[in-house]
Amino acid sequence: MDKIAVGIVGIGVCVPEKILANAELAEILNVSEEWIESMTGIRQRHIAAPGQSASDLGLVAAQRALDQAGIAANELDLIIVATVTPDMQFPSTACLIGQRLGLTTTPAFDLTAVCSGFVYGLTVAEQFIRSGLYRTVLVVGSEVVSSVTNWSDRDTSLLIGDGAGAVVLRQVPVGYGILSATLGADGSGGKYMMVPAGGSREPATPEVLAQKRNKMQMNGSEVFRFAMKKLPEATEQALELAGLTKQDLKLIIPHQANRRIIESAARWMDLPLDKFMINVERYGNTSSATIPLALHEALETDRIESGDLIALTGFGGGLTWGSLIIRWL
Amino acid sequence: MTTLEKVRAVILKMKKKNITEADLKPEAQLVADLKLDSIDMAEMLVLAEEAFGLKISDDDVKNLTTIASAVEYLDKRLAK
Repeated sequence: MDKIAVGIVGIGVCVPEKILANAELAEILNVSEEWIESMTGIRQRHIAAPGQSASDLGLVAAQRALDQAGIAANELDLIIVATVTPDMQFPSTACLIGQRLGLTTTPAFDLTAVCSGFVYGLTVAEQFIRSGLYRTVLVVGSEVVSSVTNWSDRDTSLLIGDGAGAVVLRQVPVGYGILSATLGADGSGGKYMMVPAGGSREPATPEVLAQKRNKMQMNGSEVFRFAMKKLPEATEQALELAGLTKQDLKLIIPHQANRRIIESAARWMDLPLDKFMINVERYGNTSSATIPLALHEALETDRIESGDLIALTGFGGGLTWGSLIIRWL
Repeated sequence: MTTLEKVRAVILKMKKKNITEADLKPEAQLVADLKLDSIDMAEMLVLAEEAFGLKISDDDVKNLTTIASAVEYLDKRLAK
C-alpha cells in the first residue's frame, strides 16, 4: 500500500447572484420551458454580472475552501486553476487569484481540460504532494461560460451556467483520499466542441466577432454519444485501478452536463439513479466547476460520510475525460 | 438473431417508458411514432454501434427514419 495518501481537506463554492430561469431563455430561443427541461433537466442557471470574471468567482470559492480547512493562504505551496474562461489570455487566472490571496511567491498556473478540468487538476495536484515536493495545494475550477456563449445558439445556450468550486489538498491518513485516478484525451474529437477563434490561429477580428466565432460551438449528437460512453467507461476504469467495484461506491459525482447523460449512465451501469449526485437543474453546465459544486452539495446534504467511497468523473471538450476514486476523510 | 430483432433489442435497452415490444413494428417512425428526441437518438446510436460492432457517422443518421430503414441501413453496412 502507498505510504502517502492525498485527500481533500477543505471545499468552497461560489456562484453569481443573477439567476437565469428557463422562462427567460425560452423566450429568447423561441422554444418552450418544458422543452428545455425535458432535453436537459436544467431549470435555471447562475450567470455572471458584466465584468464578473473567473478569478472573482474562484477567489471567493478558494477563500471558503481555505476557511473550511482552517488553513491560511500563505500556507499554500501551489495554486492550480482549471478554466476555459480565464479572465484574460495571460496572466493566468491562477496568478490573479494568488495575488488576491496576498501571495507573492507561490507558484500558480492554469490548466485547460474543459469539463474534465477539475479531475485533471486534482490528479496533477496529487502528484506534487505524493512526491513530497509540496504540502498544501489549492485546486480551483472556475468558469464564466456565459462569456463564450452565443445566446441565439440553442445547442449550447440552454445548457450553460457560471460558477466556481475550490478544494485544498493535503496528505491524509493512508487508506483515505484519492485511491486511483485515470485521465484520457482524444484530440480527434476536438472539433465537436470548441471556441474556434480568438486564439493564435484565428485572432479576434471584426469578422470573427460578427460571425460569433469567438463563442462556443458544439455538435450535440457527437458530444452526447461521447459523454454517454465515457461517463460509465472512465468510472469503471478508475474503480478497476482501485481494485473496487461499482457496488462499493456510495456516490458517483459526474460532470453535470445534462441530466439525460447521467440517466443513461445509470441505466448502462445498472445502478439506481440515486447513486449519482445531480444538481444540474439549478446550475446548468458550469464546465470545470460542476464537480466541486456537486461535491459540495453532496457533503452539505450528508450524502457523503467519513469512510465513504465516491467517484468523481469528468468528460468534455478536447475530447478529455477522467475519473478519481476517493475514500472520504 | 436477425437485424430486426437486434434493432428492437437496442431500442428496448433504452427503457423508454412509452415503448413496448408491440410498438416496434418495421414501419414505426423513430421520431413521430416512438417519440425519440435527439438525445434518445444519440443513445440509440451508441447502443447500436456496440450491438453491431460498427461506427455510425452523423451523416448517416438522416437515413434512419423508421425501424425498417434502420434495418436496411445496418444490413447494407454489415454486408460490406
